[in-house]
Parts: sequence; structure tokens; C-alpha cells
Amino acid sequence: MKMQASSISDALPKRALIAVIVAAFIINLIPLPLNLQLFRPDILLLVLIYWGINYSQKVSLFAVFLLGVLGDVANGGVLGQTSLLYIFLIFIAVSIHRRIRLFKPFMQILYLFPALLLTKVFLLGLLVAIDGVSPSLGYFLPVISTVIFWPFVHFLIQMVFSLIDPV
Amino acid sequence: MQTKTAFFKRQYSIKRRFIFYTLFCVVLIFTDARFNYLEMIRTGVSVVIHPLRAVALFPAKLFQDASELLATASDLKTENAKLKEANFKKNELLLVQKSLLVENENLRNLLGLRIKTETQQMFAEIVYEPKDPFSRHVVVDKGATHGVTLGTPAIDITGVLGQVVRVQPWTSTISLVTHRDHPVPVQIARNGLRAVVFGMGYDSSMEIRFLPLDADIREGDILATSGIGGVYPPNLPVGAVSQITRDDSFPFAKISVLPVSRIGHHKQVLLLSKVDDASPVLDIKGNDENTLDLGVIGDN
Repeated sequence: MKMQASSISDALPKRALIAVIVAAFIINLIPLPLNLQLFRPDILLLVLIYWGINYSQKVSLFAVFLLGVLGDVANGGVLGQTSLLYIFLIFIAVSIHRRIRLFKPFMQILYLFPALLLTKVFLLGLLVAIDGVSPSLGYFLPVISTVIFWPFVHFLIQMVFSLIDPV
Repeated sequence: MQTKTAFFKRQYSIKRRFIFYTLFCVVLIFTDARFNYLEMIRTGVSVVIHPLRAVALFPAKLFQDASELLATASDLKTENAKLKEANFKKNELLLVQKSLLVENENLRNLLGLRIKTETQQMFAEIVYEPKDPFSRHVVVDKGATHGVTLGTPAIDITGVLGQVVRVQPWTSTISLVTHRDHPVPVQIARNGLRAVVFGMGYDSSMEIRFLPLDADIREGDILATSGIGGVYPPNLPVGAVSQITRDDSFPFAKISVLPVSRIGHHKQVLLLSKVDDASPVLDIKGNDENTLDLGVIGDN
């Protein structure tokens, strides 16, 4: 599986990436029953992390920012919070891509979990300060569900990439 | 390749770009949280998302249609019988109400008060609930093209649901009464005491603020909209007082309210036409004229 991990000089498979991002965005919009809604994983975030880790030189923060705004409008939250989350995580992904690519996706969870958790803590602090929301533990539930999906999403993206843009 | 990627990426390092976008996001959060400038952007973007949303909703809709198709005849029969019975009972109430309406109208005529206009209704269905954990919103399938306007009150089968806070072309967003700081002017059904119920951001609890410690309010009191404020029509059930804490060290009593409408249990919503008149119940205008007349008579 590690054979697939591309080197820095690899060209970005644009069409495949766009297809995966659109698909992830739609998956994020699929309605869930109310009690599952709290645990909803952010698949798009995982796709962006994949982008950051494997194509770290070809990351467009502007695109990431726009996707965050789209997500915020879809979620009905304050504009900018999802953008900030995405920007933070893709920056972390780019910063640690050399190290994290040495591990198998299951082990990479150990990197992603604290990264996502700390970012969310920071974001919650920001929202409490600016918007005056009452902090709740439910805000951190998606962190667990999201990182659990990482190995599957990682595998699926690799499959789609090799199907659409075979190297 | 060189010319293509030389646009923005080559000039600044990822660190600089990261800092720039982070600051921009913080400014965006601040602007959106404190001001209303970005609603236009929100409406525009929501139009872009609409087709994607339709795709995402398709499997659920398919599943729902399939389960409706597979409903057995006996199930439908029992449901039909139940609905008939309920309908029968409601018809009786309706007849009583009709006579009361006529009586009320006549009495208002006698007193010289304005006759309350009937509200118009629009049926809508909840399409989805946005996942933002800090807001209590639902999105319904009627929007600006159907004539929904900002502030339109929404009710479900049990009582007040909330009011429309965002209107998109084909959908609109309803802020539930349980949404953080969502105020609903109410009246206690038992004694007519007026108060304002605020949402707290939780599904199962609201609170009445600013009622003094000695206010005549008890646990179990039913709260209905008072009609003051011009958004909600009067006499719609909002909730019941669930707990009162009277602590001398605070100027106001701490009153918790259990909302009547249960989100997630009903899909159907009625959008009522907005009460345009600022004072639908009190008829301040009519009352003023009356008191003025009386005053003149008294002076003479």
C-alpha cells in the first residue's frame, strides 16, 4: 500500500481530486437520523488531509478556504469556522507530511486525532469568545468518528485516483 | 507548468499563506457572528449548494418512498381508522370554535375593537436539520418563490416551532424557539402574566428571564404566545414551566420551560402569515381611542 504514496514531484491528479472532493461534499450533506447527527464524520476534511499529505506542494489554500465557506453555509453555522478548521488541518498535514507518510493509515490516526482535537479546542475557544456560544462536549464527538474513517477514506481515495488518473 | 503554477503559490510560502487565511477566517467569523453583512453571500452560496443537496437527499427520499410503498394494507387500515376518529373529534371542536369566532367577532364589534384578521397558512415539510451544533435550526421545502418572508412564524402539530430567519429561493431556514437567545413573547394561560421565553441552545429546555422572585408563576403553568411583538399570532402553545428556582441572592427567578414542540418527531410544518400589525391582541389603537372618548366625556 505504501508503494502508492507519491513522491513530491508527482503531478496532482486534478480531475480525480475534484471528483473525490465533490463526492465527499455530497456525502457530508446526506441527512442522518437525529441521534447520529452528533457523530457525523467530516469526510471532506479527510479528503483535504489526504491532499495535504500526499501532494503537499500542490495544495491550494484558497480552494480549501472556499470549501470551508461552502460547508459553513450548508451546515448553517457561523461563516469561517469550517474554513479555519480546514486551513489549520491542511497546514498541519503539509507540515508533517514527510513524517506521517512513513506510517500506515491506521497509525496515522495517532497523528490526526490530536491535531483535529487541538484545532477544535482552539476553534471552540474562538467561537465562545466571538459568538458567545455555550461550549458542549458534543462539539468534540465528530473528532473521534472522523479520524476512525481515515483508513477507509485513504484506501478509497487511492482506489479512485488509480481508476481515474492512472499514473 | 511553470507559468501555470507561478500565480500565487510561488510567491509566498505555505506558512505565510496559512497565516493570511487564518486571519481572514477570524475576521470572517467575527463579521458573521456580530453583523448581518454576509447574509447575501450565504443566500448566493446556498443556491450553488442546492443541487448538491438534492443529490445528497435522493437516497433518503428513495428509501422513504420505498418504505411507503411497502406499508401493509392492515397498517394503513388501522392508521386510517385512527385518523378518522381523531378527525371526528377535531370536527366537533371546530364547530364549537366557529361559533366562538362569530361570538367573538360580534363582541369585538360591540366594543368597537378591530376584528382580528385571519392568518393564512402554508404547508411545508422539514427537509433536513443543519448540523451546526450551536444552532437549533431546521430547513423546510418552501422558500422565497413560494412567498415565504423573513419572520414568518412556523408551528407544528403541538405548538410554536419557531420563525423563519433565512429565506433562500426554494428553501427557508427556521430558527427553533429553543435556539440560543431566541425570544418568544408569552402569556401564562392561567393568569395572563406576560413574559418572554428565551431558547438556550438545548432541545429540551428554555428559560424565562427577568421575572421577579414573587411573580405569580407555578410549575406546570402552560405558556402560550401573547401576540405582542408582532411575529407570533396569539394563543399558540409554547411550553410548560418545568422548574422554578427562587434564590434571594438573584434579582430574578430562574424559571425553566419545557418546549411543547418536539423536533425530530414531526416532519410537517405550518408557516403562518406574519402578523403585520404590531399589536394584534392588545389593540392599543382602539383602546386609546376609547379611553380618549371616555376621558372627554368625563371632562365634560
